[in-house]
Amino acid sequence: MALTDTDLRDVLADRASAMPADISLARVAAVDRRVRVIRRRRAAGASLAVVILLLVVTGVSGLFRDPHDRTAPVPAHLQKVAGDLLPRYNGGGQATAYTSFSTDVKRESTFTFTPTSRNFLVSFRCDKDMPQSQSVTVTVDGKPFMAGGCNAGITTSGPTFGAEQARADDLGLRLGVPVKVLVHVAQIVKGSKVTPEDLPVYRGPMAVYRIGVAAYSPMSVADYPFPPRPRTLESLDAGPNSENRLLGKVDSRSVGADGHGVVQTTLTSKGVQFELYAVAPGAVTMTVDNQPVDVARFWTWQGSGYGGLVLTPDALRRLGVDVKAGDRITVGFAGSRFTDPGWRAEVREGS
Amino acid sequence: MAERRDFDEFVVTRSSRLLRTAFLLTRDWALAEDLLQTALAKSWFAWGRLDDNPEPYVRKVLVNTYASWWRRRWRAETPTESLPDSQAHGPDPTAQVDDRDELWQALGRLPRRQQAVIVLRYFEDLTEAQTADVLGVSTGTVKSQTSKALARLRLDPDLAAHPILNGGR
Repeated sequence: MALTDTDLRDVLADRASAMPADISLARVAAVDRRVRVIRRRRAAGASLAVVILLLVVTGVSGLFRDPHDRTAPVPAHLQKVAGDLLPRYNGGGQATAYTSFSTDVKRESTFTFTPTSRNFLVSFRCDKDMPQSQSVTVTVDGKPFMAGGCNAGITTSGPTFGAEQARADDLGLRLGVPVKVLVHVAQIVKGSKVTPEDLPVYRGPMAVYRIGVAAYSPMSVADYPFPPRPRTLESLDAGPNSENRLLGKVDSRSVGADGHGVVQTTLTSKGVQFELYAVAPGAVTMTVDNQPVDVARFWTWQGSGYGGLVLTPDALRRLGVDVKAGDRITVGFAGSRFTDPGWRAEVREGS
Repeated sequence: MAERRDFDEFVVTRSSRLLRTAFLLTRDWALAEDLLQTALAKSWFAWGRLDDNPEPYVRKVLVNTYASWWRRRWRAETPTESLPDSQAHGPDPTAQVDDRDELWQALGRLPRRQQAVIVLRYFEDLTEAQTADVLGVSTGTVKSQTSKALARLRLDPDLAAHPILNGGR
C-alpha cells in the first residue's frame, strides 16, 4: 500500500487528536510560575556583582567581629512562633496572630486576628499527644471554627475549594475587621450527648500540655520562604493509603513534575474521593470533566497528605460539573510549581 | 494588567492547539505540556510587542525551543482502540493501522529539524515561506529539509515496502 501526503497528514492529525483532558486553566497558573522563575533568575544575574561586593565587604568586616557573638539570624523557614510550637510560615501563609499557653495554668486563651484574605488558615499544635477524651476547640467571634484532638503534628484548617466566601459568610467575617479567636481545651465526659459511646474515658487530672495556636495570612508564592531542597527526597510510596476502592491513579514519576494525567471512571452515588500525597512543594489542580474542583497546595519537602473530601454527584453539580450517578467522568490531575516529580494522586470510591 | 488578561485569555483559548503541535514534536503528552509552558513563559516577555495575532510568534518559540535543545522520549506506542474484525473481502483494515503505526514510528526517527518541518507543513499546513519564517531559515532550506525528510522515510526499513509518492504544494 502506497503512502501519500494525505496519509502523512492523517497520521499526524490522528495522533494529535488523542489529547488528554484540557487543562487550560491550570496551565495559566503553571506558566505564571515559570514567568516568575525567569524573572528571579534575571534579577539574580543582574545583582550578582552587587552580592559579590557585599560578600567581600562583610568578609573583611568579619575579621573585626566580636568572636563571642554567636547570634545569627534564623532562616525564615525555620522561625517559630506561639511558644516555639508553630512555624512562622506555614501552608503558604505567615502567622500574623497567635497565642500559646500551658494547661496547668489555664484551659483557654484568646487572641485578636485581622483577616486580610478569605483564604486565611488557623493551625494548632501541642507539645505531646492528647488522649481521645480531650480536644481543642477554636471559635471565631463565638462561632465554631475547628475542633479536634491535639498532638505533636500541626492541625490546620482552611476553606475548601470555592468555599472561601461561604466560610467567611458563616463566620460573619469582613476583611480588615478584627475578630476574636478563642482556644479552649475540653475534657469529654462519657455519656454526654456529644460523646460516642465507645470513646475512652479519661479519669484523673488533665495532663499538662503546651498548646500553640496561630492564624496565617496567605502570601504570594514568590515571597513565600520555601525551605531548601534536601539532598534526598522522602519516598513518595511511603504516604498513607485509603482503604476505599481504588479507581485509578496518577503519579508524577510517570507524567512529570508539572505533568498531568487522567483517570476515567463511572460515577456512582457514593461519589469519588481524591487522595494526594506529596514530598515536594507545588500544587495539584484536580478537574472533573475539565472543570476545576479542587487544588491541593504543598509547601514543604516533608511528606504531606491531602484529601478525604467526598465529591458526590450533588457536590460535583454544586461545583459546576453537570453529572449524575452512572455517568462516565474524566478526573484530571495537573501539577504546577513542582521542581521534582514529588506527588501522586489516587481516585477512590467515596464512602 | 490588560496585557496580562490578553495573555491569560490566549493561554486558555488557544494553547490547546499548540499543545497538539508540541506533542507531535516531543511524542509525549507530559513533555509536550512542559515544552508548551516553556514557550508560553518565554513569549510572555515579548507580549507587549506582538500584534493582534500572537499565535505565530508562540509557535515559533515553541518549535525553535524544541529544535534547539528539547529532549525527546522514545517509547513504543500501544494501541488505544480495539482493531476491527477482519473482513472477508476488501482491504485488510488492520494492515492500514499497522502502516500508520509504522509511519508514526518512522517520523520519530527523523532528525529534529526535519521532524519540525514535517509537522509544520503537514499538520499546521504552513506554506514553505511560513515554515521558513518559523524556523528562521530560507525557503530553499525548507524545501531541502522536506525532501530529505521524505527521502529518509522512503528509505526507512519499516516503510521500505510502502514507497512514498512525491507530492507537493
